[in-house]
Amino acid sequence: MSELRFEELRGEQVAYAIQRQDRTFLPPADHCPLCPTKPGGAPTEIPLPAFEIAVFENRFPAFSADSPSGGAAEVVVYTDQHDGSLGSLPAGRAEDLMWVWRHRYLELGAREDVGYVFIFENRGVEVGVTLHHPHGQIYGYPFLPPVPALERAADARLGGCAPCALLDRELADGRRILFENDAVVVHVPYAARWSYEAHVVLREHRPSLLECEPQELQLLAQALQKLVRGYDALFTRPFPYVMAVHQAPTDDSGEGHLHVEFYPPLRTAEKLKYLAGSEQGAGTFIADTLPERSAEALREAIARAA
Amino acid sequence: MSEPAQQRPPAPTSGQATTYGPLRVARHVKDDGRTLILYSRERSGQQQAGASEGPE
Repeated sequence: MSELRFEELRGEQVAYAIQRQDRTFLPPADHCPLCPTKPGGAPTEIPLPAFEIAVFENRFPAFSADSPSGGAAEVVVYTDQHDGSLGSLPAGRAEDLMWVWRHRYLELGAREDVGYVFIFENRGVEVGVTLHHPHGQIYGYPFLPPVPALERAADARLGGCAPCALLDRELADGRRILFENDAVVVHVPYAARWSYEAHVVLREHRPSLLECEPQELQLLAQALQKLVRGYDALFTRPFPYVMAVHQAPTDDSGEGHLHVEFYPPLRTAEKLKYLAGSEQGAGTFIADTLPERSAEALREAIARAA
Repeated sequence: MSEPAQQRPPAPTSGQATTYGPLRVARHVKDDGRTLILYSRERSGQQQAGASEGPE
């Protein structure tokens, strides 16, 4: 059972989910809870011999309908194959994943105890991954979390949709564009906080996956896979990241513009960026690389991976 | 993150099967009451492994 406490000094909620302390931590592959249950094998979360994409309620939820605050925590398993990544999925499966995300956004967003549907993926032990099987997660927050709230504040500051305005700026500048297709633009943001941060932004103003045309979902999936494969080619190693899908709140607190942000913690092949004094104590990122140079390196890596 | 139950769970109870976009959506209830949703690509004349387990 989780509990919310409001931290007055920062003006933000803190969720206490102490049951998560006991969750499975880096099990061997033959005890992976996200693999299908094989005859004679260890039991898993998906007690079937095979599946395509599976979604289930997290056994150790940070948020749940059973807690006083409400909310949801789901696990999205991309494949029944233990090895691989978002980038290595067959193209059709990645496209299907966009539909799964959309369906979960629709269903969770319709709940009265969910104010913001947050789809994300943590990849790599560097960002705290406890299971290597390709998967992501979805949190249904019972409130509007600080980051999407800041994005809505940016809308007000810029006098309209902030991601639309920022995308126009990036396209006009061009130096940080990684690649484009008919539906999305992928770029390193002007004020990237992480060395190889990248944003995947819908060209058209789409508040959420629900407003996307099927062709846009297909092209979004292609772009996400192309970026992840490029990341892996950058240092010739599986590239850790946090992937955050930002969409409109579902509590009528504002609109939004669908985009996917990647926060990779590596600043070189072996060195991690840590959130230290300035970042944690003052809230100001100190970046070690210029976004324009990171974009050059990423463009080369994406070309190598193609 | 989730972890497996200590005992091998029975096959989930099959529930309503619907479609969403190009996907077949099969809902099940796990033995501990949690929901498991299996998504599979709709294919004419072919049922998906897993999603076809148990009565629909």
